[in-house]
Amino acid sequence: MVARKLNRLITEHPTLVRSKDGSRMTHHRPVLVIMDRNMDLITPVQHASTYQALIDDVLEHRANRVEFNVKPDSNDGSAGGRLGRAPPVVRKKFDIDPDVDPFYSRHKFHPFPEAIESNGAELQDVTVREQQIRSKTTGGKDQSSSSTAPTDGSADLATAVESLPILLERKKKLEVHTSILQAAMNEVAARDVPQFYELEISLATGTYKNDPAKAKKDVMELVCDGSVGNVNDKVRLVIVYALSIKGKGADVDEVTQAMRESLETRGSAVGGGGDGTVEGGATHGTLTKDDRVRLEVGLRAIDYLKKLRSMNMIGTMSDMIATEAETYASTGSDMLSGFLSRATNQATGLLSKATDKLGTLLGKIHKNRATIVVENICEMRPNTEDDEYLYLDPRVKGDVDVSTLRNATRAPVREAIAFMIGGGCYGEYQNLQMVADERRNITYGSTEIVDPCSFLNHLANLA
Amino acid sequence: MTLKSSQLAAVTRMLSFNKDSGGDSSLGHNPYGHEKPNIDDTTNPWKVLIYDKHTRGIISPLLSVSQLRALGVTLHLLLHSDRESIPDVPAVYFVRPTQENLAIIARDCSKHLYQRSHLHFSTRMERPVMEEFARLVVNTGGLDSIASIHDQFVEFACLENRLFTLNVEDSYVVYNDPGATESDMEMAMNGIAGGLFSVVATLGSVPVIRCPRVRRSISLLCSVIFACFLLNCSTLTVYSIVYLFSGRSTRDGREEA
Repeated sequence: MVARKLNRLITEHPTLVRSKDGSRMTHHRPVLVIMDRNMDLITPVQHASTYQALIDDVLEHRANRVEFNVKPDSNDGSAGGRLGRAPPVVRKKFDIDPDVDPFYSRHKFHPFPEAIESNGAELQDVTVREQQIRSKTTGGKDQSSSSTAPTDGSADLATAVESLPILLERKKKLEVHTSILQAAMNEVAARDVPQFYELEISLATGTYKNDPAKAKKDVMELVCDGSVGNVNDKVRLVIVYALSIKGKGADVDEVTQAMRESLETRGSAVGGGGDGTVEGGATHGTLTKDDRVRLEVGLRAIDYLKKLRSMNMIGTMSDMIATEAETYASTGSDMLSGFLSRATNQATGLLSKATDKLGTLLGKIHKNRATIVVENICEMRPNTEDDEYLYLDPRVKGDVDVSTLRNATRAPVREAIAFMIGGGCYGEYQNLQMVADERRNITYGSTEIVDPCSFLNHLANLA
Repeated sequence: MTLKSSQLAAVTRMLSFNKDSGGDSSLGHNPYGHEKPNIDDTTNPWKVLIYDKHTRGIISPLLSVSQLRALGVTLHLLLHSDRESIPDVPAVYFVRPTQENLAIIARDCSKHLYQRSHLHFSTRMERPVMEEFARLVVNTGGLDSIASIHDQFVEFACLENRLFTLNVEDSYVVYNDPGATESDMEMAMNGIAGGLFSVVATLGSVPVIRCPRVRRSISLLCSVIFACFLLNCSTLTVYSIVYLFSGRSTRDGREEA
């Protein structure tokens, strides 16, 4: 892995240097942080809690287009009634561009329930205003017919009428989101995604750091519970567990085995639960052919990760612990501690636990590995990745030693581009925006954007 | 100026070129994309846009069908589909510069499918590929229907103002497959480098690059592996230098066939 990074780097470096020679000078130069997916494999499989990331997870979402099936039978509410009636399953397609859709751009990073709530509130607000205008127009007509209409009244009317199309446009967009929210909600509720989300977050943030037995028990419970989640949900949980807990491979094996058994018995019990597996409207209940394939894929993905983990242990374990300890001393906010947990220092542990509690509630505080790296580099924190990462300046020949830069004053970073090799996800994108503020923009890019289930397939292909 | 708006400006400029002054004169622009898009002309003629699957992925999140129409694009077609001849309308080709794509374009040109053809490539065209194409076009007599050729450096898809993807399928597998050959790896890495270069070029500023450093203090076993890779690296360095020189001559942004 490490050597590949080196290879990549050498290839990338001269390309950029050469082409940019003598081009325009900019005062604030952007920082391009190139990262490898392998540095954080938890994030792309983790369940999400925010609107955009959930859309990407539970619905078909590609290049800003959402597709899903609507079943008229369930919940013939405001959205369902409008598009229902006809065939049993309606295929819905929406293009949602966050840059022109105010509701989406406001709420894409917000926790899912919040998005639902404000969608309802905004829709109501728009409807009320629409009614106001409509009543005003009819009222206005009466006035003008009696030919005593004051000029300011008609001006008022004109603006009201003008604002109507805008209002209706807004309403239309909100209604689109209502139906997307509803479709996502159905899926989320059927699979009980929040349960997975919470447990995974606790695992990833190291809540169970000092209590591996409890972690195992909690994971075991959820994995064997036939009433929640589909096959992929469970596999993803096991992966997060395997990657976040320092424990022996035997524990992971045991959990994997338990999951397989429970899924297989559930399969034999006909009609058991009928939970979750509504993806593509394909299956229900028993462990169908599709599910069996998914389970196979999942097991292979877990195998691959186990192999990867054991390789890591040989290679860089001791090294990583050392750097990890350093990181702790300086930042104290490294949440991914679970991965290489070592009781570094009790105070940090408590602190992270406290922020973590808040993080679960807000769905925001927890920082992913990539976010931490980018933040450290942008803030130029000593003894972090800022020192550790190579510093390549296309304008300067060869590597730049960061330690010498430390003595000089460096211009603050206004523009950062985080690039993930090996696939990125919406969760990470959202997480990275935490580091952005009025003075700093973060652009996120990756070789591709993968949803968690496709990522499982990728992992499985490598096993 | 966000990445998306820069890219939009570049693509808009590409689509509003159609002054059709018979080639080069109206097309002298900065390939790094920082001028205002040229949408002023009221006599903007209709045109056909032809893309491949990859460039469609770039265009579709950027411009809707109605926005395309506003830019004068009445018809947008896949390069690989069966296309009818529309001899009185100019065409804008926006495709990847692959040999296969170029062969199709050359065939179109020889058949004079469209009035004039403006060729735009999503990334830099490799020298041998270009020479091959030039030979093909001259031999088949399609030269006079080519109005212009441009490199665009837009080898990435902007989904949002601050979100982009290179649309590499199965990228995790590609970069982590232990069975991948050296040349596969090289190609994959060139792909990323090219994509990132497009991003940087579109933004128009020179970044500082940060990436993980190779750890020096690795165990014995790992250092053996490391040594193996070091050997590979040296061959790669040589390759990079070759790549770099070959890139030099074609990187002017535009070339007349």
